[in-house]
Amino acid sequence: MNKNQFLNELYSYLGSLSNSEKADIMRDFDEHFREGASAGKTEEQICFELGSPLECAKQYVGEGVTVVNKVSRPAYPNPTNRPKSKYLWSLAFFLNLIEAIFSLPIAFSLFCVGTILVVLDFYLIPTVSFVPFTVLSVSLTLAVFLGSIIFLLLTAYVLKIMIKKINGEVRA
Amino acid sequence: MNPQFKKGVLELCALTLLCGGDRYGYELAELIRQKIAISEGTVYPMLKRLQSEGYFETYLRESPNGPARKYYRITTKGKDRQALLKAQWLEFSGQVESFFSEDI
Repeated sequence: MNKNQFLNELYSYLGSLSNSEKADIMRDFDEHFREGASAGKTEEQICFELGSPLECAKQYVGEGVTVVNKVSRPAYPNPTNRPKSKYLWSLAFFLNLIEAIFSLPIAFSLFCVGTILVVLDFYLIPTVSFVPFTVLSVSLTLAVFLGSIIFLLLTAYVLKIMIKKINGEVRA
Repeated sequence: MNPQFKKGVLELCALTLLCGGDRYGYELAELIRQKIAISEGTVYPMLKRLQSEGYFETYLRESPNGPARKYYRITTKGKDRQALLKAQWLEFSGQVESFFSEDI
């Protein structure tokens, strides 16, 4: 195994970590290869001393390493794993899409009604007060927006937990 | 060697090495592997974990031959941790050793 093979394989196992964490880990190992090379070692020797990329990855990710790389470990494939999380992602996407389709027009029309009321209130009909309606309209708009954001965050959170659980079950 | 046991011991080794001054990752990995049979690759995850637990800080410094190295510096919390683990280790190894010397 050479440096690129090692780093590629390690990277492929770090699936669930954030990009900045992955970049940090890859930086550490890249530095290790550089230092090893300047100490006169071959890439093969450095790889041998580092041990298996899967074992390294397990220390970062825990036992729930998702093995998606076809080059490595044919003994480990977990066919139920990826389609399930893919299915969950599309489910979340559609849920949010539906939510957006419903909430955006509502929010937008509420916003328009609010604007019209404000204009009427201040410029056109100063004698009649539209303030209560304006306040109602604005707060409804805010509520719809907040609702959308909370819904979005909630879906993302539930999804994350479910995927973690699935990955955990598959590996356990 | 039992992996869990080794993990704790490696932590103590890394903390102890860093008590003697700042070092970079490759240096630590080499120093440990020269004495204990480990895969050097497991040193980096451990360093990262200890850092996230607040036992180390890291900083980058230029190396004489190329890009910057990541150095590890032990914190006060790390020193306390080292003292605790060392005391536990000495107590435990003393207890195990007593089985070799005594006639039970």
